[in-house]
Amino acid sequence: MRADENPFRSESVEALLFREQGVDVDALLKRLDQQRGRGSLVGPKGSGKTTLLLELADALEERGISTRIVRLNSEGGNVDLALLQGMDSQTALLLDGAEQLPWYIWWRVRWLARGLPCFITTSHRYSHLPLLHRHQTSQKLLQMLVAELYSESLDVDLNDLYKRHGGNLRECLRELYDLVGAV
Amino acid sequence: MSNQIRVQLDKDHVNPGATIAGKAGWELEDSPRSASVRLFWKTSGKGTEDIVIVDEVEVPDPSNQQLFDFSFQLPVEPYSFHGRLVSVAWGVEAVVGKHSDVAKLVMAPDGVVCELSGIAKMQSTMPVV
Repeated sequence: MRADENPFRSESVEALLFREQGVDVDALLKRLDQQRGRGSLVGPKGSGKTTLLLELADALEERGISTRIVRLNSEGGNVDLALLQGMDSQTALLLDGAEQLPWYIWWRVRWLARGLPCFITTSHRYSHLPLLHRHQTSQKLLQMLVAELYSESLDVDLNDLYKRHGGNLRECLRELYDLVGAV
Repeated sequence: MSNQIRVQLDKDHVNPGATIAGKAGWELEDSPRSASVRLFWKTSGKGTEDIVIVDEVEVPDPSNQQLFDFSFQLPVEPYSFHGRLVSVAWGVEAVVGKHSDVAKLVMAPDGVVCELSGIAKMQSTMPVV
């Protein structure tokens, strides 16, 4: 099967991960205002945190707020503190993967971000910023996503798939990409 | 009046490095603050979707009803292709205010999209010399 026809291709998965969790970006921005521009997106790996963070960045840009997105990968990573020190005080900082930072760097980043209009993080766990949205996955959500993406029957135990990937929906759907694409 | 926008290309299958021309037309209820036409390619498949804007032309002082002529010189790569893990597709997008439309484009030798799975099958059936 061609990549651009595979029902589990990333563009379809990302759009759906976002929609099926009932996220309302405008409501989140209101909440962000109430929290003085501070907020964290918390949830397990592969639950759509980065997708939502990018959506929020677009929404902030539409409001006329420039944004800087810092992404830390799963192999660890660090933040260029000099870059943050030089940030324009009108720019919003969006930090993806805050749990990757050692605690002393994390507190330094928080200190440097104190004058910024907006500071949003994604993290697998509570990150000392007010909660903006908690992402949750479930076997039922996986079943809903699969039913939405693929109307034909699949010879796969979705509950087993969910357990094998530790609730990481993106990895579950990638495995289904390979399975369907091999046909 | 409903909001309508449309992009049309004079050719939709072209060789790498060719020049394409077309028209973007729109009828909107309100005058847009900005309008532009972009030449782009994007990946589609298992990995993260990449979108690369190769060229972009801004429409000066766009009005709510307009026909805009554009042309782009295409680069020589990447070719449009379909694989099992990833596909590359070219297109021209008009973005007028909050409205947009895309015209798809195939950029490959002789304007024929490369099918990588076909090549893999062909290689597997070729005799070993």
